Amino acid sequence: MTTSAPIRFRVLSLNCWGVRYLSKNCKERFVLIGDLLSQEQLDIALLQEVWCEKDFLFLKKKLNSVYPYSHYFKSGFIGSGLAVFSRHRIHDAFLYRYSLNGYPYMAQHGDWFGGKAVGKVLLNISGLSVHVFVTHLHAEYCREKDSYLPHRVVQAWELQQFIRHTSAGADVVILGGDLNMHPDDLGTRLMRNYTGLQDSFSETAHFDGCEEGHTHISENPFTNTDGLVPFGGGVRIDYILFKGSGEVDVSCESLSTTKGPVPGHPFPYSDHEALTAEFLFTQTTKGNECSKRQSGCVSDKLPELVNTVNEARTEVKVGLHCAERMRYTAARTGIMGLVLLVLELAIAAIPLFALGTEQPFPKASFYLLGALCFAVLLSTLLLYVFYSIEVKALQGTEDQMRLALSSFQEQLKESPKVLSSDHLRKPLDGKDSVHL
Amino acid sequence: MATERPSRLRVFSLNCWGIRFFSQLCAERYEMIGELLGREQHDIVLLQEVWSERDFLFLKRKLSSCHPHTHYFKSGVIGSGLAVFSRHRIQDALLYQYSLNGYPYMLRHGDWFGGKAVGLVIVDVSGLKAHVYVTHLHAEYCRAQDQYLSHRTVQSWELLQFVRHTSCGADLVVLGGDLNMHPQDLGNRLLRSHTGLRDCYTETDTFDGCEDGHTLIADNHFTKNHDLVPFEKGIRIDYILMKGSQRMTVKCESLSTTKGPVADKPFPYSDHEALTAELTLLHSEDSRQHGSSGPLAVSEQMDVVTEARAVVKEGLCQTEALRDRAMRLVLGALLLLLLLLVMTFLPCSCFCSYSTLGLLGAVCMSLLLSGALLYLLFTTHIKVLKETEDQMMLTSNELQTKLTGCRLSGSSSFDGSPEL
Repeated sequence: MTTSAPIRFRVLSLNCWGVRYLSKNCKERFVLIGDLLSQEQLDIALLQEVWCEKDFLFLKKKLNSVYPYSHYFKSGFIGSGLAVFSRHRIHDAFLYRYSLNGYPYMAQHGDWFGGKAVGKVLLNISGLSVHVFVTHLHAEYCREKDSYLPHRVVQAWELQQFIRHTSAGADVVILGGDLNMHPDDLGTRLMRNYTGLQDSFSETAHFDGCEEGHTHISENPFTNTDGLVPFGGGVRIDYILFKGSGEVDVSCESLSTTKGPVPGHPFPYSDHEALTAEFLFTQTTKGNECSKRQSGCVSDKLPELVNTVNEARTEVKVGLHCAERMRYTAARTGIMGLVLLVLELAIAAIPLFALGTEQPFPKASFYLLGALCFAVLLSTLLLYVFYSIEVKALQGTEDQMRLALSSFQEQLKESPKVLSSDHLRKPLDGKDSVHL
Repeated sequence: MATERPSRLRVFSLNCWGIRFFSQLCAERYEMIGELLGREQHDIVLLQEVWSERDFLFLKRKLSSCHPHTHYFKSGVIGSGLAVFSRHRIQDALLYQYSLNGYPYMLRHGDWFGGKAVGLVIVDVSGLKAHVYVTHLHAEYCRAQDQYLSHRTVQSWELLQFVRHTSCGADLVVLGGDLNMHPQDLGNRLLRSHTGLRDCYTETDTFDGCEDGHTLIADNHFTKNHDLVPFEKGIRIDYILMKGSQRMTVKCESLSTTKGPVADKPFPYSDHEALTAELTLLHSEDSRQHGSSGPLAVSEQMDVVTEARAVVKEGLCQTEALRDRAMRLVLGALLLLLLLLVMTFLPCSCFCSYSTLGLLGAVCMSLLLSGALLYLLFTTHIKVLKETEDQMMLTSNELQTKLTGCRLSGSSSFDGSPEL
């Protein structure tokens, strides 16, 4: 029985590609984005890649009358790039920065310098507690040989942990952002299965946008089309996910995306397409079914979740093995550099003690070699520190996953109906299960 | 379903001082700690400064029969040092690493290399959901001129935010650890007033331990007296805090600390004293909020947030000055390098030999690299401080609204925020 009128809630999510001096038509596009947000009558806009605070402040000034509340999440060296503009008052904000985010020496990728994170804002919509999350995960540069996969899996794990643990009291949970993962990728499945968040594209009653809901398309003149060819001209890597609770039912009434070029303008808003979702919040008195979902996983989804977490654990283990090997290499190279330096100093000391020597001391080569040794020592030291941090983060994530798996096993033991033959015959989605 | 018979929960917290090769008698003290824990059989054990995983695994093996459930939080370069041993099943764990934790060039202090954090474990205590937090904040090396005050304030803020946001579904909340703050220090007041957590030492009727509940005392021969200056006898910087919920009332029946030297042993467990709290849990029919929405409480919260904001702003100024210095270092090094290059290619380079130029060039490169790394570090710190300031401002505005609402209507006019 509905206790009050349903509430409409419009959310927009867009990766703005605001990389000053590097992305094309940056300033002009932010003007366009500002216009779009003003026109769209949204409740909340979740933006990513607003790297420059000046661009955020520009939008804030422009949108002040329509979206008087905003928050710009700051972390890392460049910033998280995450910004929220809201029609409704933001009661609280919290940031969780991901433990892993690429490598500092991969300067051409640059992800490490952005403090990628998940930001949370708390809204109150007619008495309903709405928790809104915005995030941006590590980019995928080469799908066949994805050296950042363990990092992205760790980020997806931390994202779902953060959402699950901080939204216990929420009536509505919404997550928007650029996950840099396809809908059936490991990280996306992990996220959705463990949190119970639903994909607005799959759940919406009406959809109007790019084919298959793609958010990164070849029709967009800013996009590098080569990378999209194996995927039929587009990929779906931006999402708006949602979840209700025991007392509030959430449905996605409509979802739309921009389709590349913007009518009346010479270029699109960004290299990504914008997603706009309209939700309906209906207060209900539904009891048990939804509260079970609230606890994070419905018991009949447990076997699938176990498989997904096992799969994720494998990826993390692979990453860990790699990181440990890199750390060992850095340590070994550093020690070699130190030995070489000591050797060189010893050799240089010989002429001082040798009697009757007439050869001039080879200063240039001495200094050059010394400088090389020193450079090697310093860089390997920095790399050793960095890889140690990476190893710890991966180990920490693996421990949490192991804990989760043992929890699932306990739950499975306690609900024998899950082990009925019907469930065992059910085909599992996604990749093959890997049991460890 | 409400039962009148109270459940009991014994919680232990100790900073183990497990710095291998640096802290004295490390291995022997871990043996003693293991024996103590095996004998006492607490429900939950929260340890800090277990820096070496080997020591954790040693304890895990030794306590596997009485504390079969454990979690070791890993973060940073060395590790967070946080470990949890529990008699009850640990359902889930989450780590939140603090964004600020000292400086890497302060090798003498070394905090930066430990990934100081707050760890959360969700423990199933006979059907009750206990959210247990263990943490360790940045050390205070010089109280008169505390260069880490803003870092510790940010850590306190992140700790309280983390506890507030993740303890919504809990029946019981327990926080144990080394906060490196005195009871009335800003960070402590911030934490307690905004989370509603209560200090076991002040709440308990039965206390047995060091005078004034001190946890770092002069009588402990591992403690250096200059760490305690100007407090001669000792300081209270380790805590067990607790809170119930709408469904559960929690009381601290008794609290005890170790008192330095251990009977029959030649030395204490650590340079810190251990805390043991005995909590009783009672199902509560009382659905009142735990005293955090009255005008007095809100006013207190506002004052402490304002004070904290001032500290963060001060830290921001200092860090911006440091960043400018790093930038000047980079520019200076670049200029010098340019000068050296010019001198190298000048026809009459008779001022100094090539080798000297080479040496100076190497020095310039080092300065350039150091300056660049420091610039990176300080920029990151500035972002964190600004973010913390923004979050504090949001909370401040929230509290202002509440206060106005309280004054107008005589009751809190706001609901829906993560009130605990």
